[in-house]
Parts: sequence; structure tokens; C-alpha cells
Amino acid sequence: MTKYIFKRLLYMLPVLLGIIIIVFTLMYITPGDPARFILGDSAPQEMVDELREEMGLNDSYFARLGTYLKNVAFHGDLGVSYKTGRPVLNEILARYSTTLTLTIASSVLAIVLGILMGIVSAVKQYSAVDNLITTIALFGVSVPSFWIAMLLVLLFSVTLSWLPATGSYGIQYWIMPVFTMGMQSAAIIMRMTRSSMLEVIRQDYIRTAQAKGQKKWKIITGHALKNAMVPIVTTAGIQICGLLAGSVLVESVFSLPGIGKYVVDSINYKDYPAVQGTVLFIGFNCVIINLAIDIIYCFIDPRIKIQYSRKKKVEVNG
Amino acid sequence: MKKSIMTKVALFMAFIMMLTTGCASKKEETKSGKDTLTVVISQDPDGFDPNANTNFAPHQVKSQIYETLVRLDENNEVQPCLAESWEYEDDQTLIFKLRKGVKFHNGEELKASDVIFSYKRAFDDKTAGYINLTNMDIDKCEAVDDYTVKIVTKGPYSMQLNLLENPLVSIFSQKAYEESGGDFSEPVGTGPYKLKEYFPGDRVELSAFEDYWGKDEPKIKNLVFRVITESASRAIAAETGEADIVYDIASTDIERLEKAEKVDMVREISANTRYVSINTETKPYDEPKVREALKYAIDRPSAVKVAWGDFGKVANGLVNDGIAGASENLSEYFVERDVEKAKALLKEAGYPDGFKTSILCSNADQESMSFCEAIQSQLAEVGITLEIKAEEPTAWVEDSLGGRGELSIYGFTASTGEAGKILIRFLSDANEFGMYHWNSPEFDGIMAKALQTIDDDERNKLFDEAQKMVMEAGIAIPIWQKELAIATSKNVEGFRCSVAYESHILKDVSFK
Repeated sequence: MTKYIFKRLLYMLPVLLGIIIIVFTLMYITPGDPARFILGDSAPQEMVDELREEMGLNDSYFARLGTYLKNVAFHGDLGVSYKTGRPVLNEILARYSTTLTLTIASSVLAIVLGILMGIVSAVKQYSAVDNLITTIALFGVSVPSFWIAMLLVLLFSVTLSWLPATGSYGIQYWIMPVFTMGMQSAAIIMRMTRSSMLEVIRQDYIRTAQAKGQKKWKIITGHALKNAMVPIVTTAGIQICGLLAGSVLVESVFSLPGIGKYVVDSINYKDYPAVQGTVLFIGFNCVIINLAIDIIYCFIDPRIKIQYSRKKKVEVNG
Repeated sequence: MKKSIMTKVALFMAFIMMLTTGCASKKEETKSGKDTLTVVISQDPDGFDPNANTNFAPHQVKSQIYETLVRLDENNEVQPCLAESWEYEDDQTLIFKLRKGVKFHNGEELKASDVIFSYKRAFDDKTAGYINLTNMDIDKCEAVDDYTVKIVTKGPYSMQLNLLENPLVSIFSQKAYEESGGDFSEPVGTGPYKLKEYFPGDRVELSAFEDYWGKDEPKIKNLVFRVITESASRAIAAETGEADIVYDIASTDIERLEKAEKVDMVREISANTRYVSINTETKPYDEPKVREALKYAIDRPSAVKVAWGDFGKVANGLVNDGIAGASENLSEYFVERDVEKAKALLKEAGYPDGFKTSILCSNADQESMSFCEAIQSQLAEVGITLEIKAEEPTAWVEDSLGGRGELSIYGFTASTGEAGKILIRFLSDANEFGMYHWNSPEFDGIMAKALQTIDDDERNKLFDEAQKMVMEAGIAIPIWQKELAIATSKNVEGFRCSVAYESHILKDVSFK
């Protein structure tokens, strides 16, 4: 198991390297000059050129990429923001708790609601409840989250004055953002749970359990759900990564100071180190989430664990 | 069973939120109350270096912490601030007498040496504030005594006094700067408010400075600046009463907010004018008749209406109304649309079938893009095929200034409150030369004379002549005067809109 985790950790390196190179290259080839942005459009060209030189923007692509890679790999240094002059890592960490709160809360909402609805929908297939749930889920999957966000704000903040529209200064501030973020993922997880459960509950061993007279709830949770879990966990993992990286729209609408909003502002200001650092940070988080998902597989599906142990045995015998 | 699972889930979620939001209860206390004014700004200040960031929004916060030697009033006239009085020793020497007993937030008294040190730092470190000091002979500027500052310019330079009003050259404490090693995370200015706490990307909390030099100021104990970048969310913050003052209301939200119960709208024409700039180096714009044909081909009022609706107004000059030195009699240069006349002019210029051209525009400025689309169809009627090149903002600036465009939608702001700040952009040695490639020794001569004329009336006469010369040359078609739209809560009074640099001073604001 330890070796498995270690191996997975090693796989992270090329992924992170790929992220760095892609983001660095994209920022490099996009037009616009950060030095001009810092000094304003009325600054003389010589002054802008001088600042470009100071910032190392005149160095070649490979020289700049090399320096960046070296700083990240050996010093954990994501660079200094052009816009604020502060270390990028500090800027990210200052905003991380907001994104993390939003991601965790909406993931919990999405997973709990998605799985529960998916089970009910599968067990009561083609009933009115199933139809209702699948319709709501279809709506959830199809409707863009920023639109839901605006509707919620208009209803609960502007018209009813029940909830604050912007900010993050207490639990009431999180209700609408979490709901907006969580609903779409809940719909996706629900659809996956439903189809996965439908596949499992038609199998012989479920029928056997039913024939034995076991309680319905126990059959569903103890036998069916456990075997249906692998695709659900995979979907949930993808959704959590999506929530983490895709919180930008919701953060913007509800004015939550998270890293999604930070990366968009940084792109607008040509703040290369901030964009690179934040994307790398989000990428790192996603890789960790995927690692956690891989480990969870071993627990929910013993076959994966056994498969791995066998490999190990073969290696030992060999 | 079911109930207990749901309860556990709910508790878990609540726990996670409490854990990650940290001191939520502490933040609750800082919510707007009787003694807290909540102001919404459109951009994070990105720190508190007074010499950094040329955008207006950061200085809406910093102007409460730092102050300048002089300040502009409602009529854009220079008024005392840290300097009690000033006089010209000669055409290039300004002597400022500082207000005595002014304290910095660290308790130190403001001295002339702090003023000189602040300017030198802005100058030597090549900060964004540098642009306001380029005509200063910085080595000859000195602190004559503790309360007398001598500012020497490289030659007679009438704009220097107004330039010292710019928040980018605010005064900070030399001692605090040296002690912190040039770090402004704990800013020390003389302003009515001092920094309490800064949450990057979210908000800045300020509290009243007890030893502020102004009598009975500031009126409100706490200021909270919240950063809301989305314009729709800003409007909602005003509408729901979450904020007392909201800057940068988008044109699309004004009508709704004007009807809102809790909101008063403050609307004023700003100091920013938008133009269609014409690069005379590119063909066929080297031909004056083609430039004139453009004037006849474009229906400015209808295109402005399409793009901005009733927000702002159609430009009637190079410089906005209310700005000192703005010409009032440029109507002869603004013609009614006449398609036949435009076609005839193109024929005379040797382009009877029209031509293909392009216009540079920022893709972040939806209204300007709409304007381009409106004139695209108008120009098509006279045979001109217009391609709209919508570029990423910094690329648009670079390409426009670098002369890589033919036409461009560009704006200038009279941030000093007087016409000179806009007119210097048309000089042959200006940074913006690439946009026009217009080299007029007569214009340069008039401007040189104007910039050396200290007398306001005489200078404004020269500026008037200079504006006519630009209009005559047809290198820029003024299209629109930007408007400032600010939403204030009905229970707020004493708010004064500052059009020049949009850095409104909030020390006089109070609750009704």
C-alpha cells in the first residue's frame, strides 16, 4: 500500500511539470506587457523598457521557464506578484480558505444529496418520484451556475431580503454560493448513482439477498451501493476538482475572495507569476484529490486492493 | 436512523464552515452600523504603496490614508491640504508653507523633509507616480526649513501645482518608510483614516485617526472598503443596502438603481473623454480630406446612444465640460452626418470606391465595441469597410501607442482637473505620438508657451488655441464624455464626488 501511494506520488511530478509548462507558455504567448500595465499608459517607453529589463521580461523563453522551474522545484517559490509585489504563495494562501470552504461545503452537499437522490431514483425506477428527481437533475446539469446564482440573489436578497448577496462574513453568506455550486454537481452525481445502482440491483446476488428476506434498506446500502460505488467515487472526485477550479463564476457573483477570482483578476492584469502560481496550486490540489480517490478505491472495492497485493506477491516470488 | 444521518451531515457542514471561515463572529462586528461606513470599490487596492497603481480604484482607499500638498475642490480649483499656502518665487520655483502640527499615523510630526523624501522615492524608484514629477528638477527641490518646501521645475511649468494634487504623489513618513525597509503593508500617512486590517481581495478596514489635523474630522469612526469586481453584484450591494456608498455603477444598472427605494444616485460628468484616434502615418489617413470624410460619415449622437445609452454625453470638445481650460466654442468642428458630402470628400481624395480600414478596441470595454459596431454600418454607407480589432486591454494599449493601428478607440483623463493634462498627449514628443503621428511645430510651440504660463486666464487662452489646432487637424474625433455614477444610501450625507482622479475624500461623510 505504501509503495502504491509512493508510486502515485511519483506520477504527480510529470503532471505538475506539464501544468507549469503549459501555463507558462500560454502566458508567454498572450499579447500585452505587464511593465506597461504597472506604469500606466502615459509612462514613457524608455521607463517601460527599463522595468521590463528589471523584471527579466526581456530574457528568452527557456531562460525564464528554467528560472521559474528552478525556483518552484528547489525553493517552493512561486514568485512575486507583479501587481502587489507580495509573494504569490502568500496571496494564494490568504484566499485559500474561502475557496476551500466553498469547495468542501458544496462537495458535501453534492455528494450527500446526489447519492441519496440517486438511490431513491434507482430503487423507485419509473415512479413519479424518479421522474421528478431526474427532471430536476436534468435541469441542474443543463442550467449554468451563474444564472442560478443571479436568480437566487434576485429572489432571496433583492426581493425577500432574507440572505446577504455578497461577502463571506458569516454562515448566512454561504448558503446561496454553496447551493449554487453544489446543485450542479449533485445532479451529475445523482445521474451516475442512479445508472450505477440500476446496473447492480438487477444482478443475481441482490435477488438472492431479497429471496433470503433481508431488509430492503440493508440490501441497498450493504450490497448494492457498495458495489455501485466505484463509478460514483470517480465522478465525485472529478466534481470536487471541478468545484475547486471552477468556483470562479460563483466567487465573482457572490464576491467571495477566493483563488478562482484571484486567477481571473491576475489574467486581466497580466500578472504572470500569480496566474502560473495559482493554476499550479489548483493543479496540485486536484492531483492530491485524485490520489485520495485512488486510495479510496482500495477500501470500497477489495478487488483493487487484492489485485495490487497479488502483484506484490508475484514480484516477491519472482 | 435517517434523521440522525441528516443531523450529522448538517452539523458536519456547519462545522466545516465555521472552521474554514475562521473568525466569522469577529467579522460580524465590523459590518456597517452607525459608526461604520461601508464603501464598495471595483478593484483591490493591491497594497498601500502611494506611488503605485495608476488605476483609480486603489486610490479611493489610499486617499483616506495619505494626503497630498494640495487638493482640488468641486470646481477643480487647487485648494490647500498639507500645504497651507504657496507662492511662485519665480516661474520655476514654487514655495509651499506646510501646515504646522500635522501628525502622521505613527505620531511623528509632518516635516518638509518628509515631503522631499516622498517625491524623491517616487522619482528614484521609477514608480507609477514618477510621471507627475518628470518636469521637476528633483535635485534642486529641498526642505528650506521644517515647514517650507521648495519645488523647482526644469523650466517654467504651469501644470506642476496641479500635478502635486495627484494621489500617486502623496506624502508618507520618511521614518516609517526607513524603519519598514520600504514596505507599505503598514502604511503611515497623515490622512483622516488609518489602516486597521487588510484582507486581500475582500476588504480593507480603516479606523478614524484621532490626531487628524482637520477639525471634527473624520465624522465616521470606521470605514470598510469592500472589493466587488462584478458590476451587477456592486449594484445589488447598493440595492439591498449592504453598502452605503458604491462606486462604478455600470450604465446598465443606473435606471434600476434610480428607482430603488434605499438609493440616491450621484451622477457627474467625469474628466475622461473618449476619442476615435486617427493614425496619419497610415494610408489613406495621411490625406486630410479622408479624415474630414470620416467626420461626415459618422453620426456620433446615434452611435453614442447605441453604445452608452443615456450614460455620459456626446463629446462637444477635446476636454470635458467643467475641466479648467476646456474650449467652449468648438461647435464648428462637429458636423451633422452627411453621407453625400463624405462620399464627395473621398472622391476628391482619390478614393471614390472607399477603402478598407480597421479600428483597435479593448475587448474588456463592451460599450466601446458597441460603438465600433455602430460606426461600422455608418461607414459602410460611404464605402468604407471597417474591421473591428478587439484586443486584450494591454495589447490594445501597446498597439495603439505603438502606432500599429489605423484607427483606435482611446480615452484620456484630465486627472489634474485642467485641459493641459489631455493636450500634452498630442505633443510630438508625447508617449501617445504613435497613435496620431501628428507633428505640428505650431501646436508644440503654443503648448510650450501655455505650459510656461502661470497666469490661469492667459494659459487657458493658449489651451483654447491648441484645442482648435487639434480639431482642425482632424487627428482625433471626440465621441463621448464619461460619466461617474455612484450609488449612496439615503441615510448618507456629505459625500463629495471628485471627478479629477475619482479619489473621493470621505472624511466629511456622515450618517443622517
